[in-house]
Amino acid sequence: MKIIYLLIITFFFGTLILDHDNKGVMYNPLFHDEGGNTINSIAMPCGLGGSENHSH
Amino acid sequence: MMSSISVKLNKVTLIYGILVSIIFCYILFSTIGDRHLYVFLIGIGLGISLYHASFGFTGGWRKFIEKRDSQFLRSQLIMLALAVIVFTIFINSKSFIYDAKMIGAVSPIGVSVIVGSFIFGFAMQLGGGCGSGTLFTAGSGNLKMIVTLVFFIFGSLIGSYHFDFWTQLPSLGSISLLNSYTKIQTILLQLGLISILYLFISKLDFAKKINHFDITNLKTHSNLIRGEWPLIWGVVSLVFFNFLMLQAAGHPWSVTFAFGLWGAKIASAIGFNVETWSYWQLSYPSIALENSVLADPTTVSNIGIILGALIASSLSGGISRISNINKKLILAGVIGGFLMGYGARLAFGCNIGALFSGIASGSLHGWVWFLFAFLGSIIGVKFRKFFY
Repeated sequence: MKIIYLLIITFFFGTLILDHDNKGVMYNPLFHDEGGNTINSIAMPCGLGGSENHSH
Repeated sequence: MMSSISVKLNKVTLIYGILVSIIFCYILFSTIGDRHLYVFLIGIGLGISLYHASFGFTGGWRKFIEKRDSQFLRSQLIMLALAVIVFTIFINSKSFIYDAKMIGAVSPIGVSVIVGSFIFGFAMQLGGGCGSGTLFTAGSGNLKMIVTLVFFIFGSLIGSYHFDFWTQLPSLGSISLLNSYTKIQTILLQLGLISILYLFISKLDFAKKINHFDITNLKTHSNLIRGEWPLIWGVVSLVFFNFLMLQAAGHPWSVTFAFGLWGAKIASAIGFNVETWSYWQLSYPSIALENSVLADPTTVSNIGIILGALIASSLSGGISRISNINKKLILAGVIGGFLMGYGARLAFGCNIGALFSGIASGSLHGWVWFLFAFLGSIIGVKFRKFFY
C-alpha cells in the first residue's frame, strides 16, 4: 500500500515539475517593487486581498 | 515496538521526503525567487506541526458535537486569539522580508459564503479532514485521504465554473474591522468574542462531566522531532508559521485556491477551455492559469505541507501503519472531497484561508464562515455514521 502511495505522490510531484518546465514563470506573484508602498492586488490569490480580485 | 520492516520503510520515506524537499528548494530558489523558497519551507513547518500535534478541525468539532469534549475547539480558539493579536498589529504594515505592505484575508459576506461554508462544514465530516487536514493526512500516507484530495480538487474546479452564479447573489461586500476600528479596538472586540465562545463551550464541556483534558499538558512521550506534540505546541507553531507566511508571501496562509488551480490545469490539459470561464478571467486566477503552477504561492505551501507531513510521519513511525480503506470510506472521501472543494470556492476559502486567516485579519466573513461551517458539521456528523 505504501509503495502505491509513494508512486502516486511521485507522479504528482513529477507533473508539477513538468508543468513548471513547460509553462515557465512569466509573472512572479510575489514580486513587489522595492520601496513600493501600495498593495499589489494582482499578486494575491482570489479570496485573499478583499474584493480587488472579484467582480463585485 | 516497530518491526525492522517498518523501520526500513520509515527510513526510505524519510529520505524520499528530504530529497524531494531539497529538489523543490533548488527549483524554487533558482527559477522563481527566494520568497517562494521561504513559502515552501514555511509549508514544511506547517506540515510537521499539523501532523505532530494532530491538529485538525474536523475531528475536534466532531468530538465537541458528539461528546461535548472541547479540548480541540478550545485549542482552536486560543490559536485564533493569538493570531488576532499578532496579525492585527502587523497587517497593512511593511514586511520584514520585502519592502511592501502585507494584506489580510478579507472577503465579502454574502449568500455564497453562507451556503459554501455550510456545505464545507457538512462535507468535512464525511471527507474526514478539512482543508489543512486533508493535506497533512494525505501527506502522511493515508490513501483514503488521497481520494478525498482528488475529489476536493474536482469540486474546486466545478465551484470555479459556478462561481459567477453564486457571487451574483446578495452580498454585503467585504467588511474589515480594521477599516472601522483602531487596531486596539479590533483586538479587544475579537478577543471579547473569542473569550465568550471559550467560556460557553467550556461550560458545556464541564456540564457533561467529561475528563477535561488540559491542552497545555506535556504528554509523557512528547518529542519535538518525533512527536507527538501537546495541542498547545501545535497552536503556537501554527500561529508562528502563519505569521511567517504573512511576512514572506505578503498575505496569510491559504490552502484551497491551489486545488482549483490544479483542477483547472488538468482540465485545460485534457481539452476544456477553462480560460473562458469567468472565474479564470479574474486578474490573479487568469495569470495563475497561464503561469507555471509552482509560481503560485498557495501551491508551493501546499507541497511543503504534504512533504512536511511525510517527513513528520516517517520520523514518528506513522507512515508504516497500514490505514484501513474500504468502499464505504472511499465513497465518503468522494462525496466529502467534492463538496468541500465546491463549498470552499463559494465561501472564499476553507477553515484556513477563511476561518483562521480571515478572523486573524479582522474580516467578518471569517466569523460567518465559522458559524455556518459549524452548523453544517452538526448535520455532517449525523450523516457520517452511514460511512464510518
